[in-house]
Amino acid sequence: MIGRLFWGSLAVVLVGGTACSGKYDGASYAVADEPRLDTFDVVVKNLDYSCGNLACHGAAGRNLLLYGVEGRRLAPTDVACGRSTTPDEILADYRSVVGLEPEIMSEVVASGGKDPERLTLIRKMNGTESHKGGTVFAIGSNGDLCVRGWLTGSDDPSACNNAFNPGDPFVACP
Amino acid sequence: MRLQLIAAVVVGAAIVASAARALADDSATNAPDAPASRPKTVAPIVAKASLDTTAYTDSDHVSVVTPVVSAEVGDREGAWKVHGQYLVDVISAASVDIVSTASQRWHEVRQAGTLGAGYKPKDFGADVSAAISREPDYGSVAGGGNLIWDFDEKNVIALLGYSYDHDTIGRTGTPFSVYSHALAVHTLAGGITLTLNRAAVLALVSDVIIESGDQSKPYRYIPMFSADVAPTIAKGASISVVNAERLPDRPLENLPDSRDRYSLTARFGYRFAHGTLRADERLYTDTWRLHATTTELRYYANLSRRLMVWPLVRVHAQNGVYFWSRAYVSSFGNGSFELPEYRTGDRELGPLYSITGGLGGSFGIGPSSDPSLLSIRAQADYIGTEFLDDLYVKSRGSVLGTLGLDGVFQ
Repeated sequence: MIGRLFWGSLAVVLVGGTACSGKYDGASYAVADEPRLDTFDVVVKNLDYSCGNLACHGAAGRNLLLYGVEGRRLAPTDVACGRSTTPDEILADYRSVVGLEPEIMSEVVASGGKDPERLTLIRKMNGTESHKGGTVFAIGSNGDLCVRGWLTGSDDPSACNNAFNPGDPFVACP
Repeated sequence: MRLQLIAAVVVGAAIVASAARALADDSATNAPDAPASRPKTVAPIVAKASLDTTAYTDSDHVSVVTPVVSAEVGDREGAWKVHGQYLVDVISAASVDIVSTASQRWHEVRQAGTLGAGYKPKDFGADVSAAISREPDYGSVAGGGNLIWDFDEKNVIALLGYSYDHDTIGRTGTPFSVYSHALAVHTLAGGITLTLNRAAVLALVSDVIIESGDQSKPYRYIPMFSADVAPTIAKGASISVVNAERLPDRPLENLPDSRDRYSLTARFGYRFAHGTLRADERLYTDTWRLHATTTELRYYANLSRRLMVWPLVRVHAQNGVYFWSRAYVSSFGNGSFELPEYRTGDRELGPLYSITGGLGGSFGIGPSSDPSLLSIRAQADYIGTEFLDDLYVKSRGSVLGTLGLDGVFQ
């Protein structure tokens, strides 16, 4: 009995061990509840302005990678501080922000923006979680309200439009 | 996680270790220059203590230094004992996984302690242990126990063990109250040791480990590629290639919330005139469809009453988990954003094989009546690992060295 168990297990290991995977063999996850793309352009302006320079989230290896006028450009012909952030860059940034924690993002949006602190994006920008860039948008600031409002599906862009801080040390472009 | 592995290994290895120790001890006392008779001193209490320092370094720029202090007090007949251990891991890492996310080398300190006690007055006994481990982004508390039966004048020893481990996984610099997730681990181990004849012992141990909770690494984000680019990402693709070809989305690692793991270990020991051969085979499988085999051979050679050396060789091979991929694919457009449900960058979950060669030794510096009362122990292993389907690296070389001092006081 023990011998059969041993040799049977060995066969499973040898057969399984030679089956070297290379292609994903799992299921796909479709983000069920995405935040609004049509209002993201005013949100990403703030993110790009305060987070997107080349030393921060414009750096190539960043998990949250941002494209835009303040730093990394999508088109090789564009340069930092050149023309405004393009529609393709807004799409790329949307994909980067939503794709960071897609499952949690979907849950937050599905709940109407409730408890957005579930997202690392919110905790880091609020400074409630360790963040090399420190607190970018303090809780209750216009920048904070801008991002949280976007997650609720709000149409009101006033917080986003008033979020710019000319003295922001992270801003690259004059 | 580390603690849970330690707990599992301790539970599973207890029975095989006792058998191997019996063989090794027997072998030592049968060494050709062993004294004709040992002193007949009877001490009711025996204390053992050891100091170890283990150092690890690898070609991926990770280094760990671990000082360990251990102590055990028990009676001479082994009817009872209490033991404890404390260790500190000092870790410094600038691995390719860290550098690839534009992060700097990091340093971390982990502290861990265990306490245990055992009681086995006759043929039946039990032991219990508890462990705690703490580091800035990981906390672990574990407890467990074993039941041990001796049958047929100790020619058959059976063991049944259980342990529970609760881990809290967080991020450095962030309180667990702000961000953390939990992992619970139940380990059930059963085993039997058979004394086949005066020279041979066979032990079989089976472990069942039930894990539930989110064990995804909070720092590990997985690069995504488009369907047409993914096949062009070569094994060992460099950081610059990955960064140039990746898509903007780089989601957090996501692992299934449950994992059932099964292993069967067979250990055979055979005593020769001047040493003991130990052969181990461990077969492993789990519900993530990772299958592995680990084979180890080591020989304890008694070169003199004071000197024992043990060369070893170990071969390990495994496939990857079912959701393993070198280059994951995501898609975005037409109102749909799709990613792989499960994704990981943990190389230990990918297909690999490793070969270990090592040499250990202990030198008794105790009194001539029993040199083993105080001994110096050293071990050095080289581990070569080939990663068969990974980003950034194709292989890793690592060196693990231990220097220890063991003392017996009675």
